[in-house]
Amino acid sequence: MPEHRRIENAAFALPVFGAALIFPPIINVFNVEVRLFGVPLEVYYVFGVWMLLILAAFRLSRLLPRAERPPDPPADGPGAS
Amino acid sequence: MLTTNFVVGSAVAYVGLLFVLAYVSDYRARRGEARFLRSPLIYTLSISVYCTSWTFYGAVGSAARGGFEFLAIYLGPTIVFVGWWYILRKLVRIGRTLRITSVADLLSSRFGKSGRLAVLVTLIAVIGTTPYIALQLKAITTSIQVVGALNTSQAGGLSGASDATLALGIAAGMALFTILFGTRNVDAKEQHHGVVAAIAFEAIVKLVALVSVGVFVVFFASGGIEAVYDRAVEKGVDIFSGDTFGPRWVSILVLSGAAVICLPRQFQITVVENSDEDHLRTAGWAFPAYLMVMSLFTMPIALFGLSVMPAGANPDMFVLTLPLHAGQNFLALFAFIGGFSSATSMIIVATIALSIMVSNHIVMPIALRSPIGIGLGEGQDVSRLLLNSRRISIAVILFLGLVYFWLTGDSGALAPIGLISFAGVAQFLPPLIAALYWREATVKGAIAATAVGFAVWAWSMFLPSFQSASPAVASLMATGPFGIGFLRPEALFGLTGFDPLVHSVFWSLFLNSATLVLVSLMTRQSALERIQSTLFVDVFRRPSGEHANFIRGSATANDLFFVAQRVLGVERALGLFEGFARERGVSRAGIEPTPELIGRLERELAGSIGAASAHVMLSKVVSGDEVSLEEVMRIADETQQVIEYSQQLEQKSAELRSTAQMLQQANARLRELDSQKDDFLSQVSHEVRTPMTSIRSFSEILLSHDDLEPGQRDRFLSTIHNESLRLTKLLDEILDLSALERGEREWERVPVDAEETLSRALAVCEPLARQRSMAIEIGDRVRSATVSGDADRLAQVFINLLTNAIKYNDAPAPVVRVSSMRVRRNYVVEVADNGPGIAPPDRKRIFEKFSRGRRGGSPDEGGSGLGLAISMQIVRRMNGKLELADGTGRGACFRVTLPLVGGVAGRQPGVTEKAR
Repeated sequence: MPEHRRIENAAFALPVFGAALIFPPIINVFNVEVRLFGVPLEVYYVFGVWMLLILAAFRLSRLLPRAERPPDPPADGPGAS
Repeated sequence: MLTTNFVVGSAVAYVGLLFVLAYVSDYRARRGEARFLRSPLIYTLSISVYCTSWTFYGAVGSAARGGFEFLAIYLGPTIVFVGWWYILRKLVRIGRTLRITSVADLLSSRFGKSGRLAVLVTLIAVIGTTPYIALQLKAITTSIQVVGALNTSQAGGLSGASDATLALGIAAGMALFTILFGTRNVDAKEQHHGVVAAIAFEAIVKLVALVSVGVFVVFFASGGIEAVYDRAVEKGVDIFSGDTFGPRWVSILVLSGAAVICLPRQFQITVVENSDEDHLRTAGWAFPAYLMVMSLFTMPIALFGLSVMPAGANPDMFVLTLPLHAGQNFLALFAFIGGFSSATSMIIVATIALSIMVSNHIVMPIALRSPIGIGLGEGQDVSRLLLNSRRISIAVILFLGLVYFWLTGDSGALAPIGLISFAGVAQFLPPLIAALYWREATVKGAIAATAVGFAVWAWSMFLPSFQSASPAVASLMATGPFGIGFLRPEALFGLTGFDPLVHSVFWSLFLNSATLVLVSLMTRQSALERIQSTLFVDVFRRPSGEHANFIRGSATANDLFFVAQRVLGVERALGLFEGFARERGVSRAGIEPTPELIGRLERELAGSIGAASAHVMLSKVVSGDEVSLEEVMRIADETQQVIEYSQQLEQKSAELRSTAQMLQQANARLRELDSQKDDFLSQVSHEVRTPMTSIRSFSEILLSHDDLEPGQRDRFLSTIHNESLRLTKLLDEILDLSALERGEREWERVPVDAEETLSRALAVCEPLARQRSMAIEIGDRVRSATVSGDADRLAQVFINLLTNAIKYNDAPAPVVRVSSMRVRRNYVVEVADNGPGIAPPDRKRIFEKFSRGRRGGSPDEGGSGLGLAISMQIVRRMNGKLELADGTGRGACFRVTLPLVGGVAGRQPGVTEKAR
């Protein structure tokens, strides 16, 4: 698989897995009434997943291929008027 | 001390600041200096218009009432943005290439530039957004009252003002700001740099304000995060999620994910105001990060509020009341400004987005269709009409929000109102996804789906929100319409036991999607729909900039310029035409009304008045001999047919080619056969000539010489006799062979004991061998072997092989070795000798006619050269094989392989069949 296809597939997998992690039933695994430094475990879990998603998205945003940018449609902006 | 006057004064001052900011940004953007305004950072910040006062105040209230549930509102958008590569990027690309102005425009454009769909979506958007605007008004009025009332007892100024007046004042202020900055002109792409700058600024204000309150609560008022939770536990607050992560959690995740795409204001900011597709790259992670920071302190603030505030306190206002409670008036004021920012930014963007939709999709079509319409009317200025209709729309939409606020005034918390709005616009999601990915979705399907989803939503969610205001609605909810319990708004079709939100979201989205799929499958797309669907679904595959257009105009360039001028204004129309002329390398007067020009003009107009209106307007102008789309599609179909026909021709010609090739092969084979026949004839003549010559010469001698000795005479006669015998034999064999080859003769196939036949053949050859004083060595023999065939013929084969082996063996101690065996289901006989063997070049042709193993052998020992050929034919007829075994040292070894019959294989024994 070419490199950019791999990255694009990862970009697809990320939201899918992210969604799976915050949907029941997985999220209920951490719903166990345990406190860590006074804070319920599920708080760590939700914010942990959130953080991971952000970091992964950040990483992917660097790797995803830059599209050949479509030229700004003509007669747009100061140049054409 | 914070007085109401002071609070209101600061709010006004803040709005003033926004005015200045928006004005400066607009001014600079106009002069092309606003590079900063087009940065990914500003884009991301402006997307956070998602966080309204609902987030600012409502999330804390929601956390206090429902624990973790508020997080779902932010996790849904997080998932959508993290996956920006797939949905958002496509939306933005489509929005940019096709100059989409709103979510209604997007759907209408995709589904054949349908005006009806656009109207429907616009109406739903207006109705769905109304509660949301009411929510903002409610949040602002409540917050002003909270900040003002706690601190002031003296009357005066605005402190005595009622809810209603306060809300009215706010609405008026917002309307003014929005009209000033949102409707300055009809823009090419509906981008509002001033507004976006103000929104981005507000995003920072609200974030800093909320984080400040959070830091204050956690680290100063409470003394650490653990203390917050400990205190909450002491007070008996449930800090765990319990059964939060159930159906309601899922519904809110889905709703919020849908809302961040479909909400008119989100669409406006994310798609329409986008100035560079690559900005999504940043927004994809930065917006989720913004959301996370926004919600980091929500839970602690809610828990702390629950622990320290008196029981009756409104949890929605904890963000304000906690600092006030602790005597931090300026923090409270800052928090108020933060909440005010979040509310105003939402109101501004939402009303702009909605006003564009209303003016483009409701006002414009009416104006175009009215008899005094502006389509071809004189002197009317379209852009002025657009701007005015937008200004009026903004005022009307805010007024609607106000009305909703008055009607539902005192009912409940902020969050449920927001969710009503989310669920309303979520009805756009199924058609929108279909628009992007499902080529065959039809406009009828989209209209039906949206209408059904909207109806279910209105019935099961929007209507119940008036419950507290209207006794009629309350009774309807309790018993159903006309007492039909089956249709009760919160237990549709008898589905009970669910949370009202889950119930409504499930039914509306399910019926929406189901209708979309079913109706799309049952109806057909029009030509324009097909074209548009390809443009949308394949937006990444098309070279950008190209735009399909099928209007062939009789309109002159002047007509077109006239239209452009009235919608876009003189300056931009001139710019467009001059730009076009420059590209063509002609003067402006020399512009031809080519389809390309019309296409570009349509796109340009669509950027201002929406795809449907632009299409109608241009069609009117160039209606002279417009090529209808149906016609175009028919032409396309014909082309398709021609292509298919030529493909068929190609196929046919390929067939012909292969036939010709086969003919050539057959011809070659015939020629070969012909030459074989000639060879055969010449060989036969040659073979016949030798004995004939000898007979003729001897008989001539006998005729001419009477004085021959009797002995000599007898010898001559016997030679003649021998030669004629040989000749007869040769002719017999030739006849035999040709009969065998043509398969004429009736052929007996009966079970034959091949072993016995072999013994018989050995017996026949015995004398010949003895005469040559050579030994026939008998090797391994099987006891008996039944094959199917003709015993005499088989014996002929064996005799031929044995005779050959004996005759041509010139070894000093000649030996012929015969053996037989069973190999699998075959009977194999091998006849080997220690004679000269067959030279490798002869191995191939040894079975051909008239070929002899050793050339030039003397006639008496030479056979006709047909023996092996005949044997070959016989064995073949018996389904067997005659071959020359691979040489093993000296001598030759012939092998006969015949299939055994007997047992199962011996079917139909004794049946004489005519072998053919």
